[in-house]
Amino acid sequence: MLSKALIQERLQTRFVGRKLFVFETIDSTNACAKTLAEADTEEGAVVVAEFQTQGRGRLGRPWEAEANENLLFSVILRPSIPRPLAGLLTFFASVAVARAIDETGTAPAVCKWPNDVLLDGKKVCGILLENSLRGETIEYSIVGIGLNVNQERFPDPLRHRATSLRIALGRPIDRIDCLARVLLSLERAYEDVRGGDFEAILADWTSRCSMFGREITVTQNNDLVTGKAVGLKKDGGLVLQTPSGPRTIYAGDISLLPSP
Amino acid sequence: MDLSYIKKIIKLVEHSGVDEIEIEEEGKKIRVAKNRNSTGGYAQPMMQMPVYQPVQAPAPQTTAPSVPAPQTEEKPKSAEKTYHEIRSPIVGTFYRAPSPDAEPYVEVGQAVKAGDVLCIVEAMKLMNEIESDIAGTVVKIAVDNARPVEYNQTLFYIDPA
Repeated sequence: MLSKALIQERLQTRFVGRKLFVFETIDSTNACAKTLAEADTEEGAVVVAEFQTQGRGRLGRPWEAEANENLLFSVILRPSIPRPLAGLLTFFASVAVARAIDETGTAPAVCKWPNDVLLDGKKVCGILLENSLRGETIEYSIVGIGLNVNQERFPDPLRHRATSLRIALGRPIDRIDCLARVLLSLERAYEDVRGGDFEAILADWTSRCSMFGREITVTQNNDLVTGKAVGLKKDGGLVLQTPSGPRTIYAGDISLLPSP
Repeated sequence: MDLSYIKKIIKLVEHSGVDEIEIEEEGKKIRVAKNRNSTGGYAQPMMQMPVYQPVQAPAPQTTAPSVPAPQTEEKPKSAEKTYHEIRSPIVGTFYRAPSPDAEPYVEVGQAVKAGDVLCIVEAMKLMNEIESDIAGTVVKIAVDNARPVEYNQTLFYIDPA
Protein backbone atom coordinates (compact mmCIF):
# COMPACT_ATOMS: atom_id res chain seq x y z
CA MET A 1 0.00 0.00 0.00
CA LEU A 2 1.07 3.53 -0.63
CA SER A 3 1.24 5.68 2.44
CA LYS A 4 2.08 9.28 2.89
CA ALA A 5 4.86 8.57 5.38
CA LEU A 6 6.54 5.93 3.20
CA ILE A 7 6.39 8.11 0.10
CA GLN A 8 7.79 11.16 1.82
CA GLU A 9 10.60 9.12 3.35
CA ARG A 10 11.72 8.21 -0.15
CA LEU A 11 11.29 11.61 -1.81
CA GLN A 12 14.39 13.42 -2.98
CA THR A 13 12.59 16.47 -4.26
CA ARG A 14 12.66 20.00 -2.92
CA PHE A 15 9.03 20.90 -3.49
CA VAL A 16 7.22 18.38 -5.67
CA GLY A 17 5.34 16.02 -3.38
CA ARG A 18 6.34 17.79 -0.20
CA LYS A 19 2.68 18.58 0.16
CA LEU A 20 1.05 15.24 -0.37
CA PHE A 21 -2.49 13.89 -0.30
CA VAL A 22 -2.89 10.11 -0.43
CA PHE A 23 -6.26 8.45 -0.98
CA GLU A 24 -7.26 4.84 -1.12
CA THR A 25 -10.13 5.59 -3.46
CA ILE A 26 -10.99 8.88 -5.11
CA ASP A 27 -13.17 9.99 -7.98
CA SER A 28 -10.28 11.45 -9.95
CA THR A 29 -6.91 12.74 -8.79
CA ASN A 30 -7.09 15.51 -11.39
CA ALA A 31 -10.48 16.67 -10.14
CA CYS A 32 -9.18 16.68 -6.57
CA ALA A 33 -6.01 18.54 -7.54
CA LYS A 34 -8.12 21.11 -9.36
CA THR A 35 -10.21 21.71 -6.28
CA LEU A 36 -7.06 22.10 -4.22
CA ALA A 37 -5.52 24.44 -6.78
CA GLU A 38 -8.66 26.59 -6.76
CA ALA A 39 -8.22 26.80 -2.99
CA ASP A 40 -4.70 28.19 -3.51
CA THR A 41 -2.81 25.03 -2.65
CA GLU A 42 0.84 25.57 -3.42
CA GLU A 43 2.76 24.49 -6.46
CA GLY A 44 4.23 21.03 -6.18
CA ALA A 45 1.35 19.56 -4.19
CA VAL A 46 0.59 16.00 -5.26
CA VAL A 47 -2.58 13.92 -5.03
CA VAL A 48 -2.04 10.15 -5.13
CA ALA A 49 -4.73 7.48 -5.18
CA GLU A 50 -4.72 3.71 -5.16
CA PHE A 51 -7.89 3.64 -7.18
CA GLN A 52 -9.96 6.08 -9.20
CA THR A 53 -13.67 5.61 -9.63
CA GLN A 54 -13.85 8.23 -12.36
CA GLY A 55 -10.39 8.23 -13.83
CA ARG A 56 -10.48 10.06 -17.09
CA GLY A 57 -8.50 10.83 -20.15
CA ARG A 58 -9.03 13.12 -23.04
CA LEU A 59 -12.64 14.26 -23.61
CA GLY A 60 -13.79 12.57 -20.46
CA ARG A 61 -12.80 9.12 -21.67
CA PRO A 62 -12.32 6.71 -18.78
CA TRP A 63 -8.88 5.69 -17.60
CA GLU A 64 -9.08 2.28 -16.00
CA ALA A 65 -6.34 0.89 -13.84
CA GLU A 66 -6.31 -1.94 -11.34
CA ALA A 67 -6.18 -0.91 -7.71
CA ASN A 68 -2.92 -1.26 -5.77
CA GLU A 69 -0.83 -2.10 -8.83
CA ASN A 70 -0.26 1.19 -10.58
CA LEU A 71 0.48 4.82 -9.94
CA LEU A 72 -2.24 7.40 -10.32
CA PHE A 73 -1.36 10.89 -9.31
CA SER A 74 -1.74 14.55 -10.16
CA VAL A 75 0.66 17.39 -9.58
CA ILE A 76 -0.28 21.05 -9.16
CA LEU A 77 2.04 23.44 -10.98
CA ARG A 78 1.86 27.17 -11.42
CA PRO A 79 4.23 27.92 -14.27
CA SER A 80 4.59 31.62 -14.98
CA ILE A 81 5.24 31.23 -18.68
CA PRO A 82 3.65 33.05 -21.60
CA ARG A 83 0.30 31.60 -22.54
CA PRO A 84 1.28 30.40 -26.01
CA LEU A 85 3.84 28.13 -24.34
CA ALA A 86 1.15 26.41 -22.29
CA GLY A 87 0.85 23.68 -24.91
CA LEU A 88 4.45 22.66 -24.38
CA LEU A 89 3.73 21.47 -20.86
CA THR A 90 2.52 18.26 -22.47
CA PHE A 91 6.05 17.54 -23.71
CA PHE A 92 7.57 18.45 -20.38
CA ALA A 93 5.40 15.88 -18.61
CA SER A 94 5.97 13.14 -21.19
CA VAL A 95 9.72 13.60 -21.20
CA ALA A 96 9.94 13.69 -17.40
CA VAL A 97 8.00 10.43 -17.16
CA ALA A 98 10.02 8.82 -19.96
CA ARG A 99 13.29 9.70 -18.23
CA ALA A 100 12.06 8.20 -14.96
CA ILE A 101 10.94 5.03 -16.75
CA ASP A 102 14.38 4.66 -18.32
CA GLU A 103 15.88 4.68 -14.83
CA THR A 104 13.96 1.54 -13.91
CA GLY A 105 16.04 -0.37 -16.46
CA THR A 106 13.65 -0.69 -19.38
CA ALA A 107 14.54 -0.06 -22.98
CA PRO A 108 14.35 3.69 -23.65
CA ALA A 109 10.75 4.83 -23.33
CA VAL A 110 9.24 6.03 -26.58
CA CYS A 111 7.05 9.10 -27.00
CA LYS A 112 4.05 9.31 -29.27
CA TRP A 113 2.60 12.69 -30.17
CA PRO A 114 1.48 14.40 -28.22
CA ASN A 115 1.78 12.79 -24.82
CA ASP A 116 1.71 9.02 -24.73
CA VAL A 117 4.66 7.13 -23.36
CA LEU A 118 5.21 3.69 -24.83
CA LEU A 119 7.25 0.57 -24.13
CA ASP A 120 7.39 -2.15 -26.77
CA GLY A 121 4.95 -0.14 -28.84
CA LYS A 122 2.30 -0.24 -26.13
CA LYS A 123 1.07 2.49 -23.87
CA VAL A 124 2.60 2.40 -20.41
CA CYS A 125 1.63 5.87 -19.29
CA GLY A 126 -1.20 8.26 -19.99
CA ILE A 127 -1.02 11.92 -19.16
CA LEU A 128 -3.86 14.37 -18.89
CA LEU A 129 -2.96 17.98 -18.46
CA GLU A 130 -5.52 20.51 -17.46
CA ASN A 131 -4.67 24.17 -17.49
CA SER A 132 -6.73 26.94 -16.09
CA LEU A 133 -6.23 30.01 -18.23
CA ARG A 134 -7.56 33.41 -17.38
CA GLY A 135 -6.67 36.49 -19.35
CA GLU A 136 -2.92 36.53 -19.86
CA THR A 137 -1.97 34.05 -17.20
CA ILE A 138 -1.87 30.35 -16.49
CA GLU A 139 -3.49 30.17 -13.09
CA TYR A 140 -2.49 26.60 -12.56
CA SER A 141 -1.71 23.49 -14.46
CA ILE A 142 -2.67 20.03 -13.31
CA VAL A 143 -0.43 17.24 -14.56
CA GLY A 144 -2.38 14.00 -14.22
CA ILE A 145 -0.35 10.84 -14.68
CA GLY A 146 -1.48 7.25 -14.90
CA LEU A 147 1.52 4.95 -14.97
CA ASN A 148 1.03 1.21 -15.37
CA VAL A 149 3.51 -0.29 -12.93
CA ASN A 150 2.75 -3.79 -11.73
CA GLN A 151 -0.45 -4.63 -13.56
CA GLU A 152 0.11 -7.97 -15.30
CA ARG A 153 -2.98 -8.35 -17.41
CA PHE A 154 -5.17 -5.90 -19.24
CA PRO A 155 -8.77 -6.52 -20.24
CA ASP A 156 -9.40 -7.34 -23.83
CA PRO A 157 -9.77 -4.10 -25.70
CA LEU A 158 -6.58 -2.85 -24.02
CA ARG A 159 -4.55 -6.05 -24.21
CA HIS A 160 -2.78 -5.19 -27.42
CA ARG A 161 -2.36 -1.53 -26.66
CA ALA A 162 -1.33 -1.36 -23.01
CA THR A 163 1.62 -2.59 -21.05
CA SER A 164 3.23 -2.05 -17.66
CA LEU A 165 6.71 -1.68 -16.28
CA ARG A 166 6.40 -5.16 -14.83
CA ILE A 167 5.57 -6.66 -18.19
CA ALA A 168 8.45 -4.81 -19.82
CA LEU A 169 10.96 -5.70 -17.13
CA GLY A 170 9.74 -9.18 -16.36
CA ARG A 171 9.64 -8.45 -12.65
CA PRO A 172 7.55 -6.40 -10.25
CA ILE A 173 8.95 -3.09 -9.14
CA ASP A 174 8.63 -1.01 -6.02
CA ARG A 175 5.87 1.51 -6.63
CA ILE A 176 7.02 3.97 -4.02
CA ASP A 177 10.50 4.02 -5.46
CA CYS A 178 8.97 4.51 -8.90
CA LEU A 179 6.78 7.39 -7.73
CA ALA A 180 9.74 9.08 -6.05
CA ARG A 181 11.71 8.81 -9.32
CA VAL A 182 8.92 10.28 -11.43
CA LEU A 183 8.37 13.17 -9.04
CA LEU A 184 12.10 13.94 -8.97
CA SER A 185 12.25 13.77 -12.74
CA LEU A 186 9.29 16.15 -13.00
CA GLU A 187 10.92 18.58 -10.60
CA ARG A 188 14.20 18.55 -12.54
CA ALA A 189 12.55 19.05 -15.92
CA TYR A 190 10.41 21.79 -14.40
CA GLU A 191 13.54 23.86 -13.83
CA ASP A 192 13.67 24.35 -17.60
CA VAL A 193 9.96 25.10 -17.79
CA ARG A 194 10.26 27.79 -15.17
CA GLY A 195 12.89 29.51 -17.26
CA GLY A 196 10.60 29.22 -20.29
CA ASP A 197 13.23 27.06 -21.99
CA PHE A 198 11.67 24.05 -23.69
CA GLU A 199 14.54 23.38 -26.07
CA ALA A 200 16.09 20.47 -24.18
CA ILE A 201 12.66 19.01 -23.47
CA LEU A 202 11.60 19.17 -27.12
CA ALA A 203 14.94 17.76 -28.27
CA ASP A 204 14.65 14.84 -25.86
CA TRP A 205 11.06 14.29 -26.91
CA THR A 206 11.99 14.34 -30.62
CA SER A 207 14.77 11.81 -30.06
CA ARG A 208 12.25 9.48 -28.38
CA CYS A 209 9.52 9.91 -30.94
CA SER A 210 8.88 6.91 -33.14
CA MET A 211 6.57 8.62 -35.58
CA PHE A 212 8.82 10.64 -37.82
CA GLY A 213 9.05 9.37 -41.34
CA ARG A 214 5.94 7.26 -40.92
CA GLU A 215 2.51 7.62 -42.38
CA ILE A 216 -0.03 8.49 -39.79
CA THR A 217 -3.72 9.29 -39.69
CA VAL A 218 -5.17 11.94 -37.46
CA THR A 219 -8.84 11.83 -36.62
CA GLN A 220 -10.23 15.05 -35.37
CA ASN A 221 -13.94 14.73 -34.93
CA ASN A 222 -15.10 13.90 -38.44
CA ASP A 223 -12.01 15.23 -40.06
CA LEU A 224 -9.43 12.74 -41.26
CA VAL A 225 -5.91 13.76 -42.20
CA THR A 226 -3.32 11.33 -43.49
CA GLY A 227 0.29 12.18 -44.07
CA LYS A 228 3.87 11.52 -43.21
CA ALA A 229 4.98 12.87 -39.85
CA VAL A 230 8.01 15.00 -40.63
CA GLY A 231 8.70 17.16 -37.64
CA LEU A 232 7.72 19.03 -34.56
CA LYS A 233 7.13 22.75 -34.55
CA LYS A 234 8.53 24.94 -31.80
CA ASP A 235 5.02 25.33 -30.42
CA GLY A 236 4.58 21.56 -30.25
CA GLY A 237 2.44 21.14 -33.36
CA LEU A 238 3.05 18.00 -35.38
CA VAL A 239 3.92 18.67 -39.00
CA LEU A 240 2.48 16.27 -41.55
CA GLN A 241 3.44 16.09 -45.19
CA THR A 242 0.11 15.55 -46.92
CA PRO A 243 -0.74 15.26 -50.62
CA SER A 244 -2.03 18.83 -50.43
CA GLY A 245 1.07 20.21 -48.73
CA PRO A 246 2.38 20.48 -45.20
CA ARG A 247 -0.15 20.63 -42.40
CA THR A 248 0.32 21.23 -38.70
CA ILE A 249 -1.79 19.28 -36.25
CA TYR A 250 -2.63 20.44 -32.74
CA ALA A 251 -5.34 18.05 -31.64
CA GLY A 252 -6.89 14.76 -32.53
CA ASP A 253 -6.39 11.03 -32.26
CA ILE A 254 -3.34 9.61 -33.92
CA SER A 255 -3.02 6.23 -35.45
CA LEU A 256 0.08 4.91 -37.08
CA LEU A 257 -0.56 3.17 -40.34
CA PRO A 258 1.13 -0.22 -40.52
CA SER A 259 4.60 0.06 -42.02
CA PRO A 260 4.62 -0.93 -45.68
CA MET B 1 -42.29 64.97 -7.13
CA ASP B 2 -43.89 62.52 -4.76
CA LEU B 3 -43.65 58.78 -4.50
CA SER B 4 -46.88 58.02 -6.31
CA TYR B 5 -45.73 60.16 -9.20
CA ILE B 6 -42.51 58.22 -9.43
CA LYS B 7 -44.40 54.94 -9.28
CA LYS B 8 -46.58 56.12 -12.14
CA ILE B 9 -43.54 56.92 -14.22
CA ILE B 10 -42.08 53.51 -13.51
CA LYS B 11 -45.31 51.82 -14.62
CA LEU B 12 -45.38 53.94 -17.69
CA VAL B 13 -41.89 52.96 -18.73
CA GLU B 14 -42.48 49.34 -17.85
CA HIS B 15 -45.41 49.02 -20.22
CA SER B 16 -44.03 51.10 -23.01
CA GLY B 17 -41.50 50.52 -25.72
CA VAL B 18 -39.29 53.12 -24.08
CA ASP B 19 -36.23 51.81 -22.31
CA GLU B 20 -35.40 54.83 -20.34
CA ILE B 21 -36.87 58.16 -19.40
CA GLU B 22 -35.39 61.14 -17.66
CA ILE B 23 -37.53 63.90 -16.20
CA GLU B 24 -36.30 67.12 -14.76
CA GLU B 25 -38.62 69.28 -12.76
CA GLU B 26 -37.79 72.22 -10.58
CA GLY B 27 -34.19 71.17 -10.25
CA LYS B 28 -35.12 67.62 -9.34
CA LYS B 29 -34.17 64.89 -11.68
CA ILE B 30 -35.47 61.38 -11.98
CA ARG B 31 -34.38 58.74 -14.40
CA VAL B 32 -36.17 55.45 -14.83
CA ALA B 33 -34.53 52.74 -16.90
CA LYS B 34 -35.45 49.19 -17.61
CA ASN B 35 -33.12 46.62 -16.21
CA ARG B 36 -31.72 44.95 -19.25
CA ASN B 37 -30.54 41.95 -17.28
CA SER B 38 -34.05 41.13 -16.23
CA THR B 39 -35.76 38.26 -17.93
CA GLY B 40 -38.41 40.60 -19.19
CA GLY B 41 -37.65 39.59 -22.71
CA TYR B 42 -36.48 42.91 -24.08
CA ALA B 43 -34.47 41.79 -26.98
CA GLN B 44 -33.27 45.33 -27.36
CA PRO B 45 -29.53 44.94 -26.83
CA MET B 46 -29.43 41.93 -29.09
CA MET B 47 -31.00 43.81 -31.97
CA GLN B 48 -28.11 46.18 -32.20
CA MET B 49 -25.56 43.46 -32.03
CA PRO B 50 -24.02 43.30 -35.46
CA VAL B 51 -21.64 46.07 -34.46
CA TYR B 52 -18.96 43.77 -33.15
CA GLN B 53 -16.48 46.58 -33.38
CA PRO B 54 -13.89 45.41 -35.85
CA VAL B 55 -11.14 44.03 -33.66
CA GLN B 56 -9.54 46.98 -32.01
CA ALA B 57 -5.88 46.31 -32.65
CA PRO B 58 -4.69 43.10 -30.95
CA ALA B 59 -6.48 43.97 -27.71
CA PRO B 60 -3.54 45.20 -25.67
CA GLN B 61 -4.47 44.57 -22.05
CA THR B 62 -7.70 42.73 -21.66
CA THR B 63 -7.02 42.39 -17.97
CA ALA B 64 -7.86 45.95 -17.07
CA PRO B 65 -11.65 45.84 -17.00
CA SER B 66 -11.83 42.63 -15.01
CA VAL B 67 -12.79 44.44 -11.83
CA PRO B 68 -15.95 46.31 -12.61
CA ALA B 69 -15.90 49.80 -11.21
CA PRO B 70 -18.49 50.38 -8.51
CA GLN B 71 -21.52 51.72 -10.29
CA THR B 72 -22.27 55.18 -9.14
CA GLU B 73 -25.08 55.96 -11.47
CA GLU B 74 -26.74 53.72 -14.00
CA LYS B 75 -25.27 55.14 -17.12
CA PRO B 76 -27.17 54.16 -20.17
CA LYS B 77 -24.97 52.20 -22.47
CA SER B 78 -24.72 53.65 -25.90
CA ALA B 79 -26.13 51.71 -28.79
CA GLU B 80 -22.68 51.40 -30.28
CA LYS B 81 -21.49 49.35 -27.40
CA THR B 82 -18.54 47.06 -27.67
CA TYR B 83 -18.61 43.63 -26.20
CA HIS B 84 -15.76 42.17 -24.28
CA GLU B 85 -14.10 39.48 -26.33
CA ILE B 86 -12.75 36.26 -24.93
CA ARG B 87 -10.09 35.03 -27.27
CA SER B 88 -8.33 31.73 -27.62
CA PRO B 89 -4.93 31.82 -25.95
CA ILE B 90 -3.70 28.95 -28.10
CA VAL B 91 -4.22 27.05 -31.31
CA GLY B 92 -6.41 24.04 -30.68
CA THR B 93 -9.88 22.59 -30.72
CA PHE B 94 -12.79 24.39 -29.12
CA TYR B 95 -15.09 22.44 -26.82
CA ARG B 96 -18.13 23.88 -25.11
CA ALA B 97 -18.44 21.03 -22.62
CA PRO B 98 -15.99 19.01 -20.52
CA SER B 99 -16.97 15.80 -22.34
CA PRO B 100 -19.13 14.99 -25.35
CA ASP B 101 -22.16 13.99 -23.27
CA ALA B 102 -21.87 16.77 -20.69
CA GLU B 103 -23.81 20.01 -20.58
CA PRO B 104 -22.08 23.01 -22.15
CA TYR B 105 -20.30 25.29 -19.70
CA VAL B 106 -22.30 28.30 -20.86
CA GLU B 107 -25.14 29.24 -23.16
CA VAL B 108 -26.01 32.52 -24.84
CA GLY B 109 -27.84 34.77 -22.42
CA GLN B 110 -26.17 33.25 -19.39
CA ALA B 111 -24.63 35.52 -16.79
CA VAL B 112 -21.02 34.73 -15.91
CA LYS B 113 -18.60 35.89 -13.25
CA ALA B 114 -14.92 36.48 -13.63
CA GLY B 115 -13.29 33.09 -13.14
CA ASP B 116 -16.18 31.06 -14.53
CA VAL B 117 -15.10 28.45 -17.05
CA LEU B 118 -16.48 29.20 -20.52
CA CYS B 119 -15.01 26.43 -22.62
CA ILE B 120 -12.06 24.14 -23.20
CA VAL B 121 -9.50 24.60 -25.92
CA GLU B 122 -7.62 21.41 -26.42
CA ALA B 123 -4.17 21.40 -27.83
CA MET B 124 -1.84 18.47 -27.72
CA LYS B 125 -4.02 16.62 -25.25
CA LEU B 126 -3.79 19.49 -22.92
CA MET B 127 -7.20 20.60 -21.85
CA ASN B 128 -7.15 24.32 -21.36
CA GLU B 129 -10.08 25.64 -19.43
CA ILE B 130 -10.73 29.16 -20.57
CA GLU B 131 -12.12 31.34 -17.83
CA SER B 132 -13.95 34.60 -18.17
CA ASP B 133 -11.85 37.53 -17.05
CA ILE B 134 -14.92 39.69 -16.65
CA ALA B 135 -18.43 39.53 -15.22
CA GLY B 136 -21.29 39.89 -17.68
CA THR B 137 -23.65 38.13 -20.00
CA VAL B 138 -22.70 35.85 -22.86
CA VAL B 139 -24.16 37.46 -25.97
CA LYS B 140 -22.56 35.31 -28.62
CA ILE B 141 -20.57 32.12 -28.93
CA ALA B 142 -18.45 32.70 -31.97
CA VAL B 143 -17.26 29.17 -32.68
CA ASP B 144 -19.11 25.88 -33.14
CA ASN B 145 -18.34 23.04 -30.81
CA ALA B 146 -15.37 20.84 -31.72
CA ARG B 147 -14.04 23.20 -34.38
CA PRO B 148 -10.40 24.19 -34.66
CA VAL B 149 -9.51 27.66 -33.43
CA GLU B 150 -6.56 29.88 -34.13
CA TYR B 151 -4.43 31.79 -31.67
CA ASN B 152 -6.24 34.95 -30.58
CA GLN B 153 -9.47 34.01 -32.36
CA THR B 154 -12.54 35.38 -30.64
CA LEU B 155 -14.54 32.66 -28.87
CA PHE B 156 -17.12 34.61 -26.89
CA TYR B 157 -18.63 38.05 -26.76
CA ILE B 158 -19.50 39.12 -23.25
CA ASP B 159 -21.69 42.07 -22.41
CA PRO B 160 -19.95 43.47 -19.33
CA ALA B 161 -22.11 43.69 -16.23
